[in-house]
Amino acid sequence: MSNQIYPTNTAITYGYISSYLAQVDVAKQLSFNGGSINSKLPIQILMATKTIEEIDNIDPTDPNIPKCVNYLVSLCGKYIAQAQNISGSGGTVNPATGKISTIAAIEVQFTIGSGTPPIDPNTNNPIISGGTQFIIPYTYILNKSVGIVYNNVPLPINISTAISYTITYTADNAVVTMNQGVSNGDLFVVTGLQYVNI
Amino acid sequence: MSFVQNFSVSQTLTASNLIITDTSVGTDASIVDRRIFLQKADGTYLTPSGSTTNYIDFPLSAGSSITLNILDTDYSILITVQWLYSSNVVQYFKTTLFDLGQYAINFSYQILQTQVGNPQIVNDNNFWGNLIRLYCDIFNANTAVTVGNDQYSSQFALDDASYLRNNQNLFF
Repeated sequence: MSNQIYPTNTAITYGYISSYLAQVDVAKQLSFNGGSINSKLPIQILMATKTIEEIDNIDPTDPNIPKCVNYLVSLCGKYIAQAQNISGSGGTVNPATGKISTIAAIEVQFTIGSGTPPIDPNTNNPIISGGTQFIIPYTYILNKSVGIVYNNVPLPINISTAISYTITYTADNAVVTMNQGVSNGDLFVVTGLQYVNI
Repeated sequence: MSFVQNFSVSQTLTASNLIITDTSVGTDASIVDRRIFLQKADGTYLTPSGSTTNYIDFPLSAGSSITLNILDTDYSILITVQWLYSSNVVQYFKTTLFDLGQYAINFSYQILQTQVGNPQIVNDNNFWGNLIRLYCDIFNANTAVTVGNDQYSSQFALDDASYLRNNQNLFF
């Protein structure tokens, strides 16, 4: 079974909207006697949408639905972005899940030796003085989106001549590894972006 | 609570199946049986082969739903359900017109999959024109029922869809 780009009900909504958007483009093209928009496109999108909706209503598990949904999305093409705005489901696709998502800001601020700092994966307890790793506990963090301010100074990534860090992103979280141990009173402000399912 | 008769109709991807569900509310202890009449646009009744009556028995022992494997093609059909007291006295009934076009819908789904496999096929004017015709049939069959309560026109559209389906080697 092929992976489905959007959930079926989302694709159906986009299909109906894309059909009338394409119809407007075709009408404009006819008015101005030019352009290269496929005049069949609005009805093609509409027919595919309607058929998928009919089948989904009575058997959403039908194994042929995903490939038909992907075909519908390919027909919608450039109208998808507008359809997302119009339907209020504007967003992007989380490449890890294939699900339509929004992007949300994340922020973690903590002081070593005070409160509850993030977990050190080596001890499974909050990071303490001398530790070098901590987990940013958010799922689907965008690759390369994290930045760290350490004691009010932006922290460089992976240099050996000063204090710096490296980071590993997974679907479950991100793990920060410092190139030297932290000390009590060190202040960290970690910011980044994550995908959040709509 | 007094008895208020009602029923609903559904189909599955198995287009020959018709599912009728008794959605009545309230109770009437005197009801002993139910009957279903499926009247076609030509006035005749759709019944299982070998049936000697115009109706299909829907006994209370069957529960709230009955699945009838009875549709050999698409029908716009006038369905009447009767709720009977003893001695065949019809105490309640309800009649509603339905567009049962699952064969055509399944066919359109098959054609959609043809397009998935061969997107350029819509540039074939014969294919494209008949695809539009098929969808108009499906749409009009439904609209004739839901807007016009017009069984004849609905059946006319379904018959055209069946013609395309049964002669798909000529049209698609």
